[in-house]
Amino acid sequence: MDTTKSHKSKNKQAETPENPFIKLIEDKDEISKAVKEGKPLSTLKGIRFVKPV
Amino acid sequence: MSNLYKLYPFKEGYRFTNATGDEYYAYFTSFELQTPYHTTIETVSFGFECKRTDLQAKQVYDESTKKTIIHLIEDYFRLNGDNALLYICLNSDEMARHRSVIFGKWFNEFGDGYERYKSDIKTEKLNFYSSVIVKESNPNKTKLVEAFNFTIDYWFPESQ
Repeated sequence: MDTTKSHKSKNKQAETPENPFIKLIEDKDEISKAVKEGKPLSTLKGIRFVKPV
Repeated sequence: MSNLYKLYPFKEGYRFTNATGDEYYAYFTSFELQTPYHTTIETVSFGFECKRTDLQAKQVYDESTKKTIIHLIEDYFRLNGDNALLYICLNSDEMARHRSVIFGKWFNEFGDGYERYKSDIKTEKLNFYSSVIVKESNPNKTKLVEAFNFTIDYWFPESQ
């Protein structure tokens, strides 16, 4: 099953400390940059890597 | 599954090198979903990056790369069948939709037993696609999908 929902907004609420999607986007950008520059991911602070596998 | 690449685990994720020498780094990070009941659910996001061995060479489709990534995701669900997996495609280079479509095709290769829920998120500053995947048999499926939609609605409320 595959469903799609469309969300369009202009403002964000700020009642909780951090938007997890923004954090994930920032984390992905940092990881992408590190990989391209050949830096170990262990040098990235503040990213909560997990090993569920 | 003999045509999978060998995965080399390291502290933050998994690395493999494909036939053309490109290095792939796959990883999972913690992701907190909010619920309408003022609680949170800890789930996991998945991502991968490619370090090209030759930036000038044309990137060619590689079946074993796809199968290796799918294998890793299936392994996740084999061990975490009661959780969800979140995946987002950034539009940093206007290719988010393309990546989302490709990931959708890969999702279809997971076979039966999985469900995917997607959101297209467009704000003044952001444009990305987000998906959450759950197993059909997941006893927490309803709660997880509800929390996924709630978290998106909370942070990106519909204004139109």
